[in-house]
Amino acid sequence: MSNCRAQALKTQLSEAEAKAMLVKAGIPVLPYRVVRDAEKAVEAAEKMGYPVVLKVHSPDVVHKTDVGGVRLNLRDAGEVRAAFYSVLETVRQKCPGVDIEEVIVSPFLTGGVEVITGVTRDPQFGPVLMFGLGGVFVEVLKDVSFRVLPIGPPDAMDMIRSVKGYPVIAGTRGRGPLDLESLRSMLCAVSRMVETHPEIEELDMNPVFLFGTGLMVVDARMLVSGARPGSRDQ
Amino acid sequence: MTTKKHFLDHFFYPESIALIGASANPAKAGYQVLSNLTTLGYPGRIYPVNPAERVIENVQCYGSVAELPESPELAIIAVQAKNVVPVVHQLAERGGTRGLVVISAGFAETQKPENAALQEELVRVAGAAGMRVFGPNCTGVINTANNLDTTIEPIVRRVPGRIGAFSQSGAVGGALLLMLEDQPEPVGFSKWAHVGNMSDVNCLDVLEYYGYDEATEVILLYLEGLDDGRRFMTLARDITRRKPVVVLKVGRNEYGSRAAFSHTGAMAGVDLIYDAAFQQCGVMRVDHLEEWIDTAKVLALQPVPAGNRICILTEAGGPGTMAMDELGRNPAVRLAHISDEGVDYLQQVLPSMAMVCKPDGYIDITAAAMEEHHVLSLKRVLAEPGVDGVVFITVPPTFLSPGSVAREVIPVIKNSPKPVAVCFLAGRWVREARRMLEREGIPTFETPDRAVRAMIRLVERCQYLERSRSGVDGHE
Repeated sequence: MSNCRAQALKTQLSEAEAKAMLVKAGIPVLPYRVVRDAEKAVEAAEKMGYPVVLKVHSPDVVHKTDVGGVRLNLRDAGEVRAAFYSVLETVRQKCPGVDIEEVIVSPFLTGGVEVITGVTRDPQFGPVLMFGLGGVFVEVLKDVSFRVLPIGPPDAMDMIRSVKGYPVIAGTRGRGPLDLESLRSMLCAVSRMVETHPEIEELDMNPVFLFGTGLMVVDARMLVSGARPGSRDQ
Repeated sequence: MTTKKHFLDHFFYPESIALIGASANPAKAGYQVLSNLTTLGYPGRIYPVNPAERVIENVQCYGSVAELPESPELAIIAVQAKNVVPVVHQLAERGGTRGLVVISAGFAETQKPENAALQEELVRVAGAAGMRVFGPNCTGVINTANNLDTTIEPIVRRVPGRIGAFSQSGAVGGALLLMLEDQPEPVGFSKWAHVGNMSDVNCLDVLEYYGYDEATEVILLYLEGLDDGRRFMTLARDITRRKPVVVLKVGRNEYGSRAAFSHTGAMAGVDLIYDAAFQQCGVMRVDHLEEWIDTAKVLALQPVPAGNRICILTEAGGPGTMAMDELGRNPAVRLAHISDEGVDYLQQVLPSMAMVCKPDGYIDITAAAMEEHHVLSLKRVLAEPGVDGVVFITVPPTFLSPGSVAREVIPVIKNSPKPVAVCFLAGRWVREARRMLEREGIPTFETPDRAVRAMIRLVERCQYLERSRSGVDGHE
């Protein structure tokens, strides 16, 4: 009985744990630091440079924005300090009984185009990769493409091109093309990561900011089979 | 017994067949199947089994499996569900039988546990005796090479051809046969199969078999779902490099019901993943029966073009514009370029009101065009180096016989290494002309847009072959 439960067990990684896996896979991730007090938050912000973002950091909080766990565009130490306390207080109120101790600090990015990519497992085809443009493209138009993993570079480019919003990132009037090459490498890196980590059940990288040069994973969530890596149960 | 390379050879090329549950009652499957076997000219030995009959349709009937003069290579079972397993036991005891087509229904498809158990028992007993099972709840196979037909599908002309069809629905499979027959000239097929409950032989086995089958050059699949998507992709990736696979997969609007931890999970409608998988392994997908048949016809009967530059040659503006609209909708193809010499030539030989290359690659020879204008312009555009394929549309007016246009263009199209998708408009007026063309192996299409779509399928095939030849189609 306990055996069966262990097999079915799935664990949501914290944002930092998920991002650490992406970094290891060679995927560019926005710098982040997990802190447990306001002064450490300020210290991290000073080091990264303002403005910054503060987000609640807990594997038990699935939708950070919905519970008031995100503060954007913080421009100085005072704002960071205030945001630190207000994030913890708001989320603790909205999620009673959940242990809320940590906040993640990152630079506040602007200027990129949001894309989304992720992995899920299909009962017939196994791990599949999704790619789409963020915001209205994915939310309203469901403009996404899928590929069965693993994929190579041509498949990756093919799935980028096959979304209807492709012209937005390929360059439109008044703006040059974005860095499709780094997007392609990122999709291939995700493919390799899923091959070497069969425990990855689901993954969302949402959003990923795509620039004229390079890209940055801003937020990531990951569900793995079994217990949390490094925990005693494993 | 000749050597059989694949276990499905026992189903498609049996030397002897027992029909257990043969009937003298024309309202029963056991009669229909026997009548198919005897009247279509299957050359092997046929053994009807029914303890209550002595002779059916002039064929001697046997009281039981034990009384048969030899072990049948293939046994078709059309008895009540509860009697199927005992029959399988008798065949197992006798030994030597290699395949079972179980037409009887009332097994796992009823979703009743006791019936599902009966099906498991059937497969277990058969498997232990070296017999593979088609079905139950299936109609089995047709092979036009030896006039074998184990089915109760409506009788159509069994014209040998290059299309191998396989269906997860007996009804869709039957409709396909009727629609292939109902083309201006019946479109031939090599093999046909319906595997019913897939208790043992499943659609991937048939796909693999058609992949090897030399008589089959185009594979049609009707799919409702797959159990092993990964194996399908591996098989299909291998086969599509040699022959096209065209899938009619239903369930477009079915969405995954998995709990959505991730955005990705929530977006992963089952069908989007099928789309991706088909795309990755070079399987062509169609949405409708007509499109399935058009695609099969063009792939079976026309050469694959060398590129995506399509010329539209039309005898009338309206239908030509319809074709242009359809062509413009698909970024995979573009209008061909006609050389300056080509334009000069066409202006010279065509009626003065002809619209040559307005725009480039689009030629309206107009209703003033007679047979020779059709022929000269078609010949010329096919000879153009910038043209990879031609969509040829004509709407013969009352003073021009569709049949004589067809007769004149047949040799041009037959001798062309480049594909031509032909549309004669419309209906009864051009039926005989289309028949003439199709009798010569030139596929014709009902409407201009359907002719264009068929041409686009050929271009897609060309692009897929190029991609897989250059070895850049992703992961190996």
